[in-house]
Amino acid sequence: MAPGDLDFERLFRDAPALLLVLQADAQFTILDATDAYLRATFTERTKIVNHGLFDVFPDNPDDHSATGARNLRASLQRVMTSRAPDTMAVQKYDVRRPDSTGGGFEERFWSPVNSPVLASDGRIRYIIHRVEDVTDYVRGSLPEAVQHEPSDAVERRNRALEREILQRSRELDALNRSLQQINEALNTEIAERKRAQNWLSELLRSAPDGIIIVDREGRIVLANDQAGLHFGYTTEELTGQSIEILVPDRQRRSHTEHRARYIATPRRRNMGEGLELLGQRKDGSFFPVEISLSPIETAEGLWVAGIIRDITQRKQETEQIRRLNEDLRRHTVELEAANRELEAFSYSVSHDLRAPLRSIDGFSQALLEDYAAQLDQTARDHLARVRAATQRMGVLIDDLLALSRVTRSELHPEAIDFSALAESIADELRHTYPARRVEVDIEPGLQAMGDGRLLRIALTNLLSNAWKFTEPRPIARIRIGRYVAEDGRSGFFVRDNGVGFNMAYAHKLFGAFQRLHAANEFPGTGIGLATVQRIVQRHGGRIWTEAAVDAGASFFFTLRSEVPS
Amino acid sequence: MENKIILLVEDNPDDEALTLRALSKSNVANTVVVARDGVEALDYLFARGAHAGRDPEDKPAVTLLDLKLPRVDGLEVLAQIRSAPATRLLPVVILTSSREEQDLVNSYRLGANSYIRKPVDFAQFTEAVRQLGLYWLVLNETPGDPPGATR
Repeated sequence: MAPGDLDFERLFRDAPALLLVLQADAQFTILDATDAYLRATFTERTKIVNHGLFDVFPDNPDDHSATGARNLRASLQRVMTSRAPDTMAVQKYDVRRPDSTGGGFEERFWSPVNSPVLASDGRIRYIIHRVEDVTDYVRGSLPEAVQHEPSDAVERRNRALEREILQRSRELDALNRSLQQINEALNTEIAERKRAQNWLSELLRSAPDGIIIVDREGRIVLANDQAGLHFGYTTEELTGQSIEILVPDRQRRSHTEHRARYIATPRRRNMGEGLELLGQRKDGSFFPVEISLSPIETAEGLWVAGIIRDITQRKQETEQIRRLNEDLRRHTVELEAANRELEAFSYSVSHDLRAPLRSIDGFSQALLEDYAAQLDQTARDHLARVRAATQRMGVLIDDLLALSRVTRSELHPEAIDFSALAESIADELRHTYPARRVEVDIEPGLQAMGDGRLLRIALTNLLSNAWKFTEPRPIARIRIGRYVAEDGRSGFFVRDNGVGFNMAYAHKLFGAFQRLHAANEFPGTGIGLATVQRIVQRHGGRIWTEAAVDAGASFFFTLRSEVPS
Repeated sequence: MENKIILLVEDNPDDEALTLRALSKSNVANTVVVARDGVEALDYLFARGAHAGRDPEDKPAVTLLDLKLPRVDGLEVLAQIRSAPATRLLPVVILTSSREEQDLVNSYRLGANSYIRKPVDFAQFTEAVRQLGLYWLVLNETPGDPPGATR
């Protein structure tokens, strides 16, 4: 016969034990009871099933010291929270006699156990309440002699003993509870300490700096992984060794002395205090270390914890920074010298290179004036070419000097009304070339941050170029406006409808003396755009161009320190 | 106007010849005294050295001073002219090749009355000299001149 064929309901109800099955709810609703239980409590199944436990089994209203119901509820609640069986002390819990036998309460002593029935997910499904009726035992425990005393005296002694048993029982119960609580607290503390210890030892082990703890004799008590890595030992090899094996040979003696002094007057010494030290690896090589020390008072006496940092990389970096700084200083000195040289050169050019030109031009002119009669047309033409070349050379020198001034002069950035600046330059050009018809369209409200004098030079060059290269157009059009790149950076553009140029030569455009047009076509020294580029670069910006032959040219440029619009 | 002296301080003989030519082209017939370096210019002005016998009160109407000069340079000459009471108010025109900012600033700071840059183009140079002569020898009045008097 398989267990599944057993009649469990029958087996349960006929079980020779006092059992209640309770719902794990707030009322502890009774679900079933054994027949033995029903008999012991003078009740019937139908009267208690589906009723709250304490509704059908209240305390004896005549016993004002009754605590049975309260204790039972507390025990059931403990089962609910701990999900573990709870054995109660012996309880006095009187039962109601059936009305057929006169009603009222009958005195009873019980020894209850409450036990949870857990579902597969761990939650409480039911609580089984098992009691034993110990009334006879409680009464039967009275000494033999006492039982033969007169009945009222026996009754009194009985009462006294009952009270004492109950009292002891309660005390035991309370003691049990507090022991359980202490036990729980101890368990929690042990778990926490274990966690903390694990955490601390893990921290110590995996710390990025080497940590070594030595006792007052200088023996290594503890070394972490990183300390081992620094010195090329395993932590096991280090433990128990003298700390001096990690000190270079020739410093061991002084290290021992230092250590003795430290033990005598221990104090915390922070990283970077004192001298830079060398550590010696297992293979005999040295490396620079930085060490901080702190004394630790232990049960075994004074220990010293040292944190050891390998500063090889830092020293290399420091050295590299020092070298870079030195390079920078040297370059600065070289640059300053080059600048001074350039300054002297420019000064010399300004004074000395122009003087011979003046002589050539002046005396050519004197020849033309004083010896006009002796000179034929060809000779006069030659002299005219000499003079033209001389003057052109003069302009070249002036432009070069202007370019060099742009490079040398100090930058004084300020907020510039770029639209107004463009307008004033356009006015000057209109005045210089009154015969030209040029439509200039300037976007209003353009703002720039830059050196006003240099920006004027740059924009004058760009506009003069636009003016010059639109010369063949019946109506020249020049536009000046804001340019916004895809990356949000903005700058300016100068666009014209002039003769343009082949983009294949665009890279030559900004070099000094580079020209894309013949001088007899469009005059110029080829220094203007080099000057513009120099100015833009000095403002941290860049300049580029878009053009096509006969389709105009656009110049774009940015200035780093621009006023946001 | 004919009696007024022009002191030309110029070390370059070409520039000297061209300046003299430009002056004569502009019909400036004044006596032009040429000093070929800074020391000579100061000796003339303070009537010492080679010019020891000269009457120091006979001051030039205008001094045309180059900046780049042997021995004592133009700025130093200007400084000495301005620091001596006798020549403190003497009109000094800087006539030089340079348009360097530092030269301009230093000249005016030391008390130059004017700063002219010699153009490469001789026609322009002549025009500049003509205007110089007109201004300093004809139009300009100096504290030393009795009103309406000509020397």
